[in-house]
Amino acid sequence: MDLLTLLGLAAGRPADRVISLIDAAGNADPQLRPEADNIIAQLRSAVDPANLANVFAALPAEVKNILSGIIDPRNHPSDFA
Amino acid sequence: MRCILAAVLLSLLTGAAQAQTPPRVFGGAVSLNGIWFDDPEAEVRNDLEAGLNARASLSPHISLVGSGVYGIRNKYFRYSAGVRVTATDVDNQAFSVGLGLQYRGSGYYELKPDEWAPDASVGWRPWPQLPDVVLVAQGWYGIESDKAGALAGIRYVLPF
Repeated sequence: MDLLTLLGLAAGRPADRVISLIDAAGNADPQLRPEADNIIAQLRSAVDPANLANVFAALPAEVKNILSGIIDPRNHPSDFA
Repeated sequence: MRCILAAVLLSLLTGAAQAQTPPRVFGGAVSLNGIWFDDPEAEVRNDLEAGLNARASLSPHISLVGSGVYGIRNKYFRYSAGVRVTATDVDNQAFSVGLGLQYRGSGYYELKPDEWAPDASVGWRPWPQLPDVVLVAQGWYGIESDKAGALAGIRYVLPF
């Protein structure tokens, strides 16, 4: 399975599942509602096809760099999920 | 009283300076999760888990990720390993969304089958003065079982 396919798969049902979970947290505690809405909006924006197209475009060069031994790390909080 | 205020101010300033930590390839975190399995016929519907998460950040978008956790109430071990692509600003250390694929497995019969599962993850550092504390949420569905699940948790990133 190539990276493009997995991105498409993960952007569907799994993203919807996360949105359901965060929405439930916002419903459970009204004080969390604004932050929940903010996170849901950012998540929906991230899985928007236009954004995914930009992500797709960056991947081949990064895969080539990794295979060439060029490592360029980042500090993503979602890496620890 | 002044010493206490000075200590608090110093810790906040130190925390603010640490909010943008230099990226490292390898990272690990202690984890605590609430987890929900969406199979209405399953024996294990939810649990509280404790364990470890690890990552190797290889490029701005691509990381290898994995976890090993223990389900406290149902007494199971569960693991996952795979790749994750960050779909948001790669230089935003406070918030990110990752899309990926992991192999999820367990020795516990009720959590079978072991299978590949696409996933979507959210990570959030809500407190700049506590950059090692991360709130996370993840949803996945198993390709073989066609069953979904989700977790929400807190991570403490280890200092190495």
